[in-house]
Parts: sequence; C-alpha cells; structure tokens
Amino acid sequence: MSILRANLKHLYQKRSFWFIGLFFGTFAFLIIMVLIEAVTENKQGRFFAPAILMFFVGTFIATLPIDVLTKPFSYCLPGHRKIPREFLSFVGLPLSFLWSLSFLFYPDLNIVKTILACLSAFSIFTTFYWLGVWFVFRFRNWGVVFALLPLLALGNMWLNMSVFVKHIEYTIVENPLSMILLGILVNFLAWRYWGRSNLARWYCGILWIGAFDAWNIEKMSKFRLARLAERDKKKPGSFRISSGVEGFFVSRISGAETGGIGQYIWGSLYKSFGMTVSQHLQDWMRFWIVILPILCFLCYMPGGGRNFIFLMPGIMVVFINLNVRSSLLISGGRRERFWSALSLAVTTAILGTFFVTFIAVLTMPLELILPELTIKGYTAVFNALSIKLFFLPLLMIPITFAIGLVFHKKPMLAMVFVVVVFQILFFLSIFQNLKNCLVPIGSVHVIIAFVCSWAVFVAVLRYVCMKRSLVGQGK
Amino acid sequence: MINGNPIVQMRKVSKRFGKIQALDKVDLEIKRGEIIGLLGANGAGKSTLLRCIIGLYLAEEGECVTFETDAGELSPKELGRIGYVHQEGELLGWMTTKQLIRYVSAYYENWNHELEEQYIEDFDISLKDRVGSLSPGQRQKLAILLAIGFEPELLILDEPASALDPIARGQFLDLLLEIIQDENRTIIISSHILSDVEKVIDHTLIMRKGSVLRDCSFDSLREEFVRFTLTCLDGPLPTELPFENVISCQKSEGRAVMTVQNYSQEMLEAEAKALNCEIEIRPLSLEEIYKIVAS
Repeated sequence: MSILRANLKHLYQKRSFWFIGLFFGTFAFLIIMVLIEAVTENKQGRFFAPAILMFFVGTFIATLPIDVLTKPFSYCLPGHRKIPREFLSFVGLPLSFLWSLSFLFYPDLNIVKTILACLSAFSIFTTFYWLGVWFVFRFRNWGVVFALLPLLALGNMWLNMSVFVKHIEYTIVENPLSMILLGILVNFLAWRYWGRSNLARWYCGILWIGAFDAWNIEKMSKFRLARLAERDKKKPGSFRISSGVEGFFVSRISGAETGGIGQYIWGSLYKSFGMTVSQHLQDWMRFWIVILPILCFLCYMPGGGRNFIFLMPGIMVVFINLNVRSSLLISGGRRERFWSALSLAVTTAILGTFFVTFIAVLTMPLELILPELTIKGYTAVFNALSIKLFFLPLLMIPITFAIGLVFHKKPMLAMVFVVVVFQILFFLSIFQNLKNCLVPIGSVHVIIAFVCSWAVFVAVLRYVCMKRSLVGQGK
Repeated sequence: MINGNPIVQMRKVSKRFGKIQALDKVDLEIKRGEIIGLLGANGAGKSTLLRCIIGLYLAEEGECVTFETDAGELSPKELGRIGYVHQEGELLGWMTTKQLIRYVSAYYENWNHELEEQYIEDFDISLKDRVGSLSPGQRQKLAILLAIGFEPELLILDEPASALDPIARGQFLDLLLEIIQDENRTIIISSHILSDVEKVIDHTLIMRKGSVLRDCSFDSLREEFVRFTLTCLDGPLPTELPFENVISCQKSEGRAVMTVQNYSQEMLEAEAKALNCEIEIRPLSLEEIYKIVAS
C-alpha cells in the first residue's frame, strides 16, 4: 500500500469524519439545488457558493495531516515528508475540479468562454480551499474557524456580501485570465508551502486543538496549560493567582474547622474562582474592552436577540468544574464533595445573575445616550436589555450543571445537550412569553421553574457524589 | 510491628467496567504496620483495588471497610489519615508549586512543615514553577510530598516512582525506608519496579484479572520458591532427579540449575547429600517470584 493511500484511509477510518462527510454531503446537495435554481431561473451570484464550501472543506481536511504531523512517531516515518502536500492536493484539487464543472451550465456562454470560466472557477475554488487549509495550519486551535462565522454574518449585514459575491462571479466569467493567473500563483505557493522539508520539524510534538478535540478533556486541559505557560513567558507572573487572592482563600480554608464542610466550600470556591478573580483584579479593563463592543453589537441588533445575553451564563457554566470528580488531593469525602459542589453552583448562579443584571442596568442609560446608526441605508437603534429576564441564569445554571455532571467525560456533548434542552424549553409557552416580553410572567411560574431546576440539579449531584465512581473510568 | 487490628477489610468485593471484571470477589485484610507490595500486570485491578479502599470507586458487590468505616462513607476524619499518590498524578496545573503546597497543607492541622522543607530541598523542587509546566518526574515528586506532608497512617502509593529518574528513585526509596520506621504506619505500594519494592515490603499481594493470586508475607513467599545449583561430585547427574514441584530445570552433564517450590533448605541439602552432590542455594528476587506466580 502506498503511503498516500494509507493516509487517505484516514478519511473513513476517523469516525468524526463520517459526521463531517454527512455534513458536507448535505451542504453539497443544497448547493446543487441552488445551482439548479440559478441555471433554470438565470440568477447571478449563486455559482460562487462552492468556493465557500471549499474553504470549510479545507479547514476540515487540513486537520488530518496536522494530526499525523504533530505525532512524534511520524517525524521518522520514511517517505512521509511530502505526504501532507500530496494528501491535501489529492483531496482538494479533484473536488475543486468537480465543482468548477458547474460553470458548464452557466447561462449564455459560448464554448471557449465556458471552458475559460471552468478553469477560472477551478482557480478560485482551489484558492479558497488552500486558504482554509492555511488557516488551520496557521492557528493552533481549530476553534478559530468558528470566529469566522460571525464575521461572515457581519460581512453579509454591513458590507452587502451578495454584491461582492456577484462581482467575483462576474470576474470569474468575464475576466477569467486574471483568475487563472491568481489560481496558478496560489497553487504554486501552496505546493511549495506544504512541501517544505522543515514542515515536519515545525509541527512535530506541538499541542494543537483539532475540530473534535473539544471532546478530549485531557488534551484541552494540556492545551490550556501550554497556552498559559506561553503567556507567562511573554508576561512573567501575570497569569497567576495573585498573592492577595491566595491569602484570602487559604486563610479561610485553614481558619475553618478541620474536616468541617467550610474548608471544602472555601477550597472549591478557590479552585474555581481564584484564577478568574486574580486576572480580573490585575486587568479588569481588558474584560470590559471585550464585553462592551459585544454588548453594543447585541443591543443594536433588531428584534429580541440582544436578550440572548441572559442565556449566556446558563450555557457557559457547562465548562465549570464542580470538583466532584478528582483524585484524593485533599481529604474531602463524598458528603463534602456534595456540599462544596452545591455551594459552588449556588455561588456561580448568584454571580451569573448579578452579572447579567448589572449589564442590563448598564444598558439603560446607554439607551438614552447612544445614537441611531445608519449604514448603507440600514438604521440600527440601541435598545436596552429587558431587565425582567434577570432570573433566567438562576433557572438555567442548575440545569446546565446537571447536564455537565451527566456528560462529564464529553464536555462538547454536554454543550450540545445544553443547547438542545434550552431550545426545547425556549419553545415552551413560558419561555416563549419571556422571549417576547409581551406577557408579564407570573412569579408563580418562575418559582415553580426555579424549584424544579434546582431540585433536578441537587438530585443529580447527590446521585453522582454518593453513588458513582469519582475518578477514572468508573461509572 | 504489625498490629492485629485490620485497617482495611474487603469481603467479596467486585467491580466491573463494562465487560471488564476489574475486581472479582476480592477478600483482603490489611493490618496496621504492614508494608504491602501490590503486584500485577497492567489491567490486573491494582488501581481499582486501591481506589475502592479510599472510596473513589464503590464496590458493586461485597463490602469494603477502611478505618472501620464503609469506604463509600469515609469522612475527612478518616480520609485525613490517608495519603494517596495517584497513578495519573492529577494536580492543579494552574497553581504554582508553592501555591499548591499551601493550598493542600491548609486542610491539615498536623502538616509537617519541617518535613516539607526537607523534602523540597532533598528532591530539588522548584516552588515558583507552574505545576502544569513541571516534568512528569517533578510532578510525581510533588504528588509524593502532598501525600506524606501530613504524615498519614495509611499511605497508598499507586505507581509512585514510574516517572522518577534513577537518582530520585533512590532518594524516594530512602524516604520510604525512613517513613516505615514509624511502626503504626501502613503502606501499600503498587509498582512495576519490583527491585525497588522488594527492599521495603514485608507483605505481598499479587493480582491477576481482578483476583488476588497471593496474599502472604514476603518472607513466606521467598521461602516458598528457591533456586539452587546442583553439582555432582563424581561424574554425571542421574537422568531422573528426585525433586517434586519443579518449576524450571536447566541440566548439563554434571550440573543442574533448578527452581522448585515448597522445599526447605534442610530438605534440599539432604537430597543433595543423597545424590553425592554439592548444592548452592540462593533465594529468588521478587521479580523472579512474581514471574513464576503470575505465569
């Protein structure tokens, strides 16, 4: 078996790629439908769609050679140095070629123009494909691909993407030589870039996060620590727990009754919030520099989407470790784990609720100050957050924690489950009313929901703490 | 000195992970003051057994009692008497070494700061480094410190020396030898480095596929298996040698190297005399015994 063939088998040997295959298969089908519509109804701008698809294909396909390159064993594999280039080309170029054939059906072109348009499209599709591949090779965390999605949405909203797309499609058809030249240049550079002899050395043994590594708790933890260490090198001592915060918590742990619940509650709060509080005290400006533009963006958005911010704490806490499952570093028993986890959950819920309420209050004066914005004929008005929804984190956080406890080995699955559960609840009448803020919700509904969500969480937590294995592979 | 009162009692304890029977009706008693070597191949159930003792795993069947309390209900009072070095070395990676020591020591009234300082100096532990950026060996040294800093009555060491370099391993053995001077301290050490283990243990527990193969004192195990060289004083050895329970035999014309079971030194010497042979007896190492028992 040739080395390339052995590598190509990863496309089906890796189970996550079955899902990706299904995902892209569905999108390819949709694009074909769009193209058929474009041909039959003579619509412009649709033939460019495969380029976007090829970009994302590139981001996923690139994960396979990187996965192999980063494993130290592959460094010494004979004849493997040029395989990333061959692999990427073997997948990307035929796919781009197949999609470029769609221009055979482009309306009102003679044979020569059609052939040139196909070549030109092939150039553009491969360019987008290589761009996607480069993007993933460049950044050590595949998750940055997600950052492109809001950018695409923003681009579409503010920059009138459809005109831009039509312009490129027009250039593919009407000015194919420039596109072909661009394609030749990009493919030449890509061929050189992914054929470098030092590529294996650069990637050997480095930690990187692939498309599905968010499932891998151990790898994610190592990656975060490696990033912290890197930041530490750049700015020594800045990414550590401050001595004040440490002193505060440690004095409370040692001051509490030995073996009493208080020690474990303080310990749990220290483990979960020590670093965050230290960072916030050291550099609180950075936090607000990130938050304020997002807040403005959400509040300028039309509709009730801005109130999504009330859902954020409920979703984000899926990544908070309740410190239930850990080896015996300290002498807490199962009962202590239960009470410290419960205290941590309550504290998180209160802090989350306080945070969104504070943000909501903050938007009220901003509503009076901030002007209307008009961009390309579209007028956006700043609307304050609806403070009536302040209690949502109190309802959501326990549910999220309960889901996190059940799916503790698969945080991404927990995340998906959290989104699905809240989506379902969202469509229930009570949440529908909340969403629209049309009908004031009775406090009875809220109290019932509050009691139910916390009862579910306490039941799950108690079951996990008292009846399940607390470390390793056990259930 | 071994006290008759057991600090760990397991009765018919079973634990299963999916299709794997990690523990299969294990009966066990650990007495105060014992230094136990827990031996077994990978997947034999050693770590599961240790985790059941401290209640991190709950037995599906049977009963596990530690310090006279059901292992699943151990409170800080009992757990504060147990030091545990975890095989996977789970520590809080984002703290510095110093912060982690301060954090753990805050839970114990009886934390021995002198021992801590001595250990840090002897094992050359850097206090400023972030725990997550330590090498596996450094992490293991730190984990050992956190487990012994409060001078626990029961010290459970699950592969404590696997990541240590030879010098650190030597230091660790010296430390263990120092720790075991306390007659009330019980230590369970699970390790694949048997040459180290045999220097400290007085009891062996050999496991295979979730079952306990042997639970006996190390001395009795060493007496049970013996290797000797038999050299005939006049001519070749007879074709049939009069030994039973022979585990291995390498025979040349006038010489045989044999490993046998359940023979005392006197019995062997008597047999050698009857054959008109010279006999040289040597005890087997723990590793050799383990290979025989586990095979």
